[in-house]
Amino acid sequence: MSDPSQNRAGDGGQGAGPAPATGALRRTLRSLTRSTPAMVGLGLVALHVLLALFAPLLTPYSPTANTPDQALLGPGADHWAGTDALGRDVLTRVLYGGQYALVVSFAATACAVALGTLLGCVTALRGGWFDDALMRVLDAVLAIPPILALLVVVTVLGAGPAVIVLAVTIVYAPQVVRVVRAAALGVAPLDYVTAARARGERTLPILVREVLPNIVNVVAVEFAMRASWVVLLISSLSFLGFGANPPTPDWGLMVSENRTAMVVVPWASLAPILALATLVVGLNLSADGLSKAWGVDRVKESS
Amino acid sequence: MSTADRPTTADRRTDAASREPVVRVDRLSVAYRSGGADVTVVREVSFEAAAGETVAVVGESGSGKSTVAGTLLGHLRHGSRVTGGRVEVAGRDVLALDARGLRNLRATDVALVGQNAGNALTPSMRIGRQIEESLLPLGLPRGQRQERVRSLVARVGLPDPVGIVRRYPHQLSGGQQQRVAIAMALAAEPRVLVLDEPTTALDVVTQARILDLVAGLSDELGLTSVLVSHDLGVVARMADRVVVMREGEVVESAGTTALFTAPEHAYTRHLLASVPRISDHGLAEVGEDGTRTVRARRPVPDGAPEVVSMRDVTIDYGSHRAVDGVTLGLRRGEVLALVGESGSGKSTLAWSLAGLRPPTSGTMRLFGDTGDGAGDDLATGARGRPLDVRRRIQLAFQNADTSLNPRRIVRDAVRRPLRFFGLADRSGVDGRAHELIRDVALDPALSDRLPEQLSGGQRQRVGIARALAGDPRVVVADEVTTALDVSVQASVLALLDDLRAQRDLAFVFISHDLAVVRGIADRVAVMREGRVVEEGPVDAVFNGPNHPYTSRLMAAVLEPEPVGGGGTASVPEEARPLTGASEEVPAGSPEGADDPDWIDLGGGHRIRRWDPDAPDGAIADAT
Repeated sequence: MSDPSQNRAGDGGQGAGPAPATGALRRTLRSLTRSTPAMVGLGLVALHVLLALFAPLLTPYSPTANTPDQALLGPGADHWAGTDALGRDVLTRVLYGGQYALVVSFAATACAVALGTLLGCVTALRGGWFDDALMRVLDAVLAIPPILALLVVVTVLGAGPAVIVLAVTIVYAPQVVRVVRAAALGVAPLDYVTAARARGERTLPILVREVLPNIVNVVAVEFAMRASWVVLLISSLSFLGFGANPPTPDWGLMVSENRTAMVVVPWASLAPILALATLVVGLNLSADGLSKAWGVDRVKESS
Repeated sequence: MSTADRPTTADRRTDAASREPVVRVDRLSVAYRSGGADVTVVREVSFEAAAGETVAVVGESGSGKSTVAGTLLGHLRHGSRVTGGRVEVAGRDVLALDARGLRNLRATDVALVGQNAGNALTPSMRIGRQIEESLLPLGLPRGQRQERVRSLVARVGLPDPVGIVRRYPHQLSGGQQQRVAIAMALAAEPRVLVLDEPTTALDVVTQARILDLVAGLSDELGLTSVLVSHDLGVVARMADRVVVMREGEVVESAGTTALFTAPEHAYTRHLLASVPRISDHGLAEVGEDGTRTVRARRPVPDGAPEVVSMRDVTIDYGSHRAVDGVTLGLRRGEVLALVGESGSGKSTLAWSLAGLRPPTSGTMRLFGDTGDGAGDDLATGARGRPLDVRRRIQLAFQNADTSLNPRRIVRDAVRRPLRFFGLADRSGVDGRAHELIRDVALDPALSDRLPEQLSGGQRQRVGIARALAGDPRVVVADEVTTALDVSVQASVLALLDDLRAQRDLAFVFISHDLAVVRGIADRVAVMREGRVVEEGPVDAVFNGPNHPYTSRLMAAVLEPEPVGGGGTASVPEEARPLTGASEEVPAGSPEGADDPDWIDLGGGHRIRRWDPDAPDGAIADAT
């Protein structure tokens, strides 16, 4: 029984050895690389990140400087996607627009998921009246249409990236709470959590040491999935005129600015739409790939 | 069953007489792919079962017994495949059947009763509909189907056949669910019944009833059964012939009587010897060759101080009273066993002692830490106790799979309580953790492993090491050996016994296995419906006289000794040694007659009075 060699035989050779964490990582990577949709998704997201990061190197134009003599040009050798009504290069604005979309979306998603995870775990561990009360409050928040809630927050606090991050956190954290709570409820009654409770440990250490490591996959998938919704929501907000202020290069704002000239310069609207669509599709496919690689059951989300 | 079925039953009896094998497994080999290599899980297994015969396939976990049972229904676990051999059931070559043929086979000739009926039943479907579903292949009209459902329900002994078909699975007890599963298996009038650990998830009394039911039914219907089990007591009770498997191979195959009285293979002998017996007066130690010596119990010294005292402890779950006025004491170095069926409140009481749920009323105190002798209050949750009191009572768990955090290495599991209770500083903690791991007879080299890389027994030892890290006085061991194979169970029990001697530890040992209790416990408290019905030194309790409920628990214990053919009911209406009336109090217990609640038999052995008119199993016979 205490013979280690017998134990090693039971491992089937795979992932044995003193560094099991790398084994799990390798398994995940293998599962991801074998799935074409996951690779396409991750590729798209990576492409967007790279393009946004290196935008200043990729284009000679400024995203904000007006050049009225170059206004409303079609696609050509100088301006691959043409220019808009103020003579700004569309491709340049799309590339720089990625910076805004990615940074604000990432920050907002991170805040929403972090807050949601914390609340979800605590409510699952605490249970009782705390759970009941919090879940009813969140139900009430969930009943408000997201865009409406966003508009209210933005109208009250004024536009700006920080406000948008706050607004998205308020809108999406309740949904994250539901998903994470469901996952944490699966871990909370297990004996190792009971053992920690019998030691009299506080909720936070139990959460960090015993619960979080076992639901990190759910949280990661939730992050990727939620990010695609946030990108869309933030662009919608800009499109409606409540998000990024002109002349910030932003995809939603660009579609809004150029939609009146749609017939003259279609690419000024189409290019940001295309960029937005590929990013959302990429995020979605990555989330699916991750959830399959980790065996996370996305059906749970509806509960 | 209706009269229409009688002729078929008679036909089968004739079959049985001709003794032609209905199940034939011939040199079957099964392998699964892991990391690019084939791993053989079943190697050249052969056995036959004649009509009307019950053949048991016995082995420890990982022996491949369940895989063999699956092939009888043409089922293989994902990723595995048959690499050789034949399986014939009712004259059909199962492995050659296509999907339609398999469906037909399962609909008419062979049925499975699995371990956990709770998982096998659809939670959102009424019992009646589920049983009816398995009648669909017969193509009967609706009215006749429902008639059949009713007769099946009555036949498997479910109470209130009319009402129960309208219930949902979660409204039934585990035993009732298993009866429903049996009804579903019998619905299609199969010739072969495959029983995969049919009673493992049930407590002893329910187990005995279900086994009686299965034995009676297969006798009556002339069924051929293949029983897969790790429990030699169940096998001895049920089987005509036994096939012993180990690591995918058959090591011995013999008639039940022959196997249990004169096992030939050393492994069989070892397996048999490892099973704790209710007649043992201590823990059995089994040598490699299967010789069996019983280790004498180390008596608790007379002057041993009390370490925990519980008085009138009551615990409510909402309006349900789980524990109802329990008074028990525990001395240093003593093992107190809490025995009872599931739902008797034994776990609730123990968990409350461990600080997971404060009692609703009553007192619990821990002695030995504060000087004034009044003891420390335990009637609070763990957080309400001072750190020094908290660490004195620790828990060990039943399920080795969930007792350790799968993301933390073994050393972390042991290190955490050491740090938390401030028993080791940052530099000394690794050394202490290694010592503890060595103390539970584990190789310290395992301390960098994750739980998934350990065997069940090793994980259980880590769980014990974690409990020991707080340097406790009392360890609450909740069914710690129940999920383990017998040989591993024996070694873990020996470890607990050693630890108690070395550290003067007291154990609250929860178990429903009376044979294990007899081996390890000094005192036994039998609980039923939240109350202690009998309490006393282990030998006094096992020698009797007993409370009728205790007698019933003991009668339900299955010993690994053949009882002959099987088939007769084994839960006796035992003669009652005591009626509970006060004039029957044995002489020599001076105070006995004064106490309105208890009969004192002397030497600490006391029995709660009961109503002689009420059936001893006041728990309705609704298992």
